[in-house]
Amino acid sequence: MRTAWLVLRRCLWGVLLVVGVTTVAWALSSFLPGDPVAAAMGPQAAPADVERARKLYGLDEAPHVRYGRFVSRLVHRGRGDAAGKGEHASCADASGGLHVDLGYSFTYRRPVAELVKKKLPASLELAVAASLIQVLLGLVLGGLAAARRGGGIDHGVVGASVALGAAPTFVVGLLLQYLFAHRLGAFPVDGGYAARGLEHLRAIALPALTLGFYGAALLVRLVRSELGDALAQPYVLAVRARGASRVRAGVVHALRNASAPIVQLTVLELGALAGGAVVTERLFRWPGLGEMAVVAVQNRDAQAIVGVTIVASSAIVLASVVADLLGLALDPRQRD
Amino acid sequence: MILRARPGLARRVLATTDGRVALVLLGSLTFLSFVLPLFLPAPNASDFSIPAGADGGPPAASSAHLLGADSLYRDVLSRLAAGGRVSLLVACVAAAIACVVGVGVGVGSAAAARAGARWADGLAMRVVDVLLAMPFLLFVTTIGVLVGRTDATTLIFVLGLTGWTGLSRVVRSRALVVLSQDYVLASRALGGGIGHVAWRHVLPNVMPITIVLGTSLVGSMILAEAVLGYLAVGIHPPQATWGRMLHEAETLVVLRPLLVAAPGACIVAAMLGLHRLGEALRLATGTAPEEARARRFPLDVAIAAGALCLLVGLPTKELAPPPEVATAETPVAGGELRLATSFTVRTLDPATAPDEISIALVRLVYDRLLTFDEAGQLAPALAERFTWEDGGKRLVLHLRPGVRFQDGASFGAADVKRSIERALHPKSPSPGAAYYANFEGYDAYRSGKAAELAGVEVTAEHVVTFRLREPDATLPSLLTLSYVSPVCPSVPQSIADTTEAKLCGAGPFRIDRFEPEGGVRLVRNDGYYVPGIPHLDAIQLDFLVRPQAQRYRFERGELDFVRELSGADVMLVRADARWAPHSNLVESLRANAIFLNTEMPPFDNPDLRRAVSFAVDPSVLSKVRADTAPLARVVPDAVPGHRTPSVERRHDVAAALEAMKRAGYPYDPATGEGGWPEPIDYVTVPDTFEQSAAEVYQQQLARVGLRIRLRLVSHQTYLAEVQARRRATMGWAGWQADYPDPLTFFDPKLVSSAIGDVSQNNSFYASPELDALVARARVETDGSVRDALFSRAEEIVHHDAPWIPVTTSRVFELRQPRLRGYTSTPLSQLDFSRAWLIPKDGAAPAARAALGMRSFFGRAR
Repeated sequence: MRTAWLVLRRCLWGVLLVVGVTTVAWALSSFLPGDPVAAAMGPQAAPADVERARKLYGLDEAPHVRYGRFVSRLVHRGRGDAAGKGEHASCADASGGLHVDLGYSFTYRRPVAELVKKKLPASLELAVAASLIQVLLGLVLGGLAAARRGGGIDHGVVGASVALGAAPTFVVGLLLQYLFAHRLGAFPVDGGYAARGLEHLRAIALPALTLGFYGAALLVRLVRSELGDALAQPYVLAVRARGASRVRAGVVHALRNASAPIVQLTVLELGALAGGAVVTERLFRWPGLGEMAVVAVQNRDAQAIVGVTIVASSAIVLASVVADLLGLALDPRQRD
Repeated sequence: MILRARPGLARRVLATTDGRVALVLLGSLTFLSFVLPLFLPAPNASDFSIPAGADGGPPAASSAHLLGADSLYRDVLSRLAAGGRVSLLVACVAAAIACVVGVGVGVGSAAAARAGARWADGLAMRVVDVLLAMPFLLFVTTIGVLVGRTDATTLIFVLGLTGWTGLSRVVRSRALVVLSQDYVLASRALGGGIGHVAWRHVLPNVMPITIVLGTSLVGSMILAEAVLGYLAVGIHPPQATWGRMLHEAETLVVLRPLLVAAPGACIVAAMLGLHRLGEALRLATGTAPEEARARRFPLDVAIAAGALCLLVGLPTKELAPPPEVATAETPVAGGELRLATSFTVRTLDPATAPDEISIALVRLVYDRLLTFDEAGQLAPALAERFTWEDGGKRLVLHLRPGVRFQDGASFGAADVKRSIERALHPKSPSPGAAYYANFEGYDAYRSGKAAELAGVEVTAEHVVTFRLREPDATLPSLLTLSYVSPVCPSVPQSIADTTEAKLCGAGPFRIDRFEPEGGVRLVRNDGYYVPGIPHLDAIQLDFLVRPQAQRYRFERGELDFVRELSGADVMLVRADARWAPHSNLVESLRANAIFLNTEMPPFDNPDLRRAVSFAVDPSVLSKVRADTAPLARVVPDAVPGHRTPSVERRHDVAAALEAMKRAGYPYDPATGEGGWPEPIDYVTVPDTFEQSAAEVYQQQLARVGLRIRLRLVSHQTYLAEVQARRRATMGWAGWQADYPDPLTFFDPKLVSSAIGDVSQNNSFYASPELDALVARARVETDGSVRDALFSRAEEIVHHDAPWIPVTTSRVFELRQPRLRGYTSTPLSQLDFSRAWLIPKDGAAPAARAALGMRSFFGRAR
């Protein structure tokens, strides 16, 4: 019962947080100087034509008026009208005749809802792939280091993770692209999101490694210290004394007890990545939300900025709720 | 304070291996940043007298420049040192601010919670939540824009004020534990206030963890600064930082890996050093487990050093030679042409396509009424000929009979009228509508008062008559623009209701698939009115492919044609004679200039404007990008017409100094005294060639006493600033001829009628004589008279110097040997209607797909 109340409270706060962050993002993008319409029309457009386009895109109204309309239309009943037509030009269908309207992006010349629907899967997929690499590297290397704490392997693993964590993502990405795509020709240079099967796996490999390495650098050290602490506990000795193998004692008993922070960190990272990885997506031409965020911010496209912000901040909030719940489930000590 | 309170700390730190490794790493970085610069050349000074490398790239390492020079011929070692000063300083100060705020908030909210003010604690932690969920990029951009200029101070505050959140959470939980200790309760029972307790008991107890987290925070700040530099929202150039240097060297990674490796090594060394320092501090303050005291070989340093050696030592891969192809002289039908661009195309609607790439694509899909031939003369297209009537107020256009649109409908005069009315419709956001404001009835139609455009009449099935308010010799040129290209009758008249699937025209290719974030695929229009044209089956153009990736993909044979190679790659290809037959530099109709605002000091003074004109020397820029050429007149040479080359901008420092003296601001180059007293802002867009050019002009203008500060703003802000009255003093101005006529440069860039609330005349230059010349040229149809008028116009601009022409861009095009039949002129770029591909020997279409290039939309179909 207490847990349910806790979850409810966290979710309510999460919704508030998303609304707050979205409003701030809207305000920031609306009050920045510069003329987004002039830029969208091209540098050579005559002032009169720019003014007309501003009216047509509805950008001549005050920001608070536009924000009010945005909020009132965010989720509304379609009343039998199809999304994408006339009044509902910028809507996307949700279930039960409801429409979701995130507005119209004048840079992409598409409804924002449609853009998000298209780009979120790409970002999610990359986030999951990166997390898999991160968890795999983190558990294997961190586990080895924990098992041989103070030994050569330990020093090597920690050293490598520090060096890897010290390299900015774009440097790692550039070098991976240079080495594996250009020099060795083993992977596609970029793009390839829409390719199927093996080709798709090859396309996702380099961006996922770029992100995964960075995350793994953190996770390795966490696994090493958490698992190392658990392995030093008396109950592991007791299990070993009852004849369990080293691996069984480590994986079944120690890892089970050390799992809460490891799982929590992984889920939080996943949430942060789901909102889009700005640098990596751009480098490897992965059509996700990170790329869209950059384009939106560069073009001061308030509607698109808000669309990305809603998704990205929701993902972060959701991940932190899930992380808390998983913590409660995995570690009874967190329940009080 | 800490060191005084615990005198043994420094010694205890140095007693550990970690501490000694940290000392070596951080000590050498400090030496590099603060001592070495005494013996190095100035970090921001270009030295274009150094010869370029043998491969055409920037100068490689030599005894004078130990690490070589960057793309602007500046000493890399000096820049590394200068960058270190800023990067280290920013990171340390920002981390200190973050620590103070983080500890303050953490201890404060813990104390508030214990003192019964739970709401304050809750509020603080909710603020932390919001900050953690904020889009960082937007946040930093905003603050940068609000402050107006990103310099070291801005960055310190941005990083400091956003970086404290994690720390404050840790400190808060530690403080809560301390506050529930017995001795704290005792202290409170003895009458100690909560403030006293926080200061005397909590603060000293959270210090060790703060110091440890603070060191790692310095590391994250270095990384954050690097990422911001990479995203071009960091400190403004020419100031070097490690992050910026990495960013600037990105396209040189193949040619000069050292330029990437050097700043990369510094960042990694700083991070490793700080990590070691943190570990040593944990040991010294007793917050680390005992076993970690074991001796540690600096394996991390060894790994990082090994990776760097590998990167620098790896022999650079030579440019692959052109693949052999079977000789073939007659065009072969079939094949798919694969292209890429680093831009994205938002629309393929001819009425609204705003930029070069989208217009080039639009021209392939929609044939225009008239076109230009290679010599720049008007040529027939969908219209066969035209005649003038009524003293130049009426133009009769005779259309080609028997033409069919891609949807099968036949093409006639009514389609011309309908398509023009569509582009000029009251609800059309067309960027080009104003070109046709001279049509009779334009205002009534555009404002929605008239149902049709009176100035366009259907005279017969294949005859259209245009009626003008004033005679205008440029009307046929305006009919070559894509805005008024005929569209199929099936295309909706409302632009808002037109989706890409509904677009169609009468051009050689039709749209097969279009995805603004992925690419576009055009396929052959079998019913095109020129028999046998086009040869190609399809054209696939991928968007958002970085120039570096374009080169990789071209070398892998995945692209047939590239035109956006980075400056370094252009040099590399041009240095390789084997590729010479397959590449060419195309002149363009683009002029880049420095505009000087004639309404604002200092450039309301014509002598200071002339000083700028004499001081800049754009000729050195060809060493930076081989595809730029210096421009000495307003109108680039590629614009047809004969002009007497009597007046030209020339580089003459003595004349510039003379002009400074005449203006009343003499400057002595020997002592550096005098000149215009204030720094002058130069506005341009970051991450463009114009930014590099501005960094060079900045050095050149400093030599005559004009101190320029670069102001880099987003494209939106740039447009808003340069078009507003009395706002931007000077900066970059670019103009692309819409049609090949000198008139398109003088009007609107230099005529007084273009000055308004939003001004396209960025210099706010008003000359009655120039205005009169332009008005006469508009109605004049005799070529030699026009040439004389424009020669005089050039003289006026040269004399008054409101607009200093500096460069014209050229396009470096590189083709696979199998691409044939493609010629490009300044007037017809990316025109693949007559291009064809030599089939690969025995390569069936299926085998071609296996080469790795898959259509971006493979999944869609």
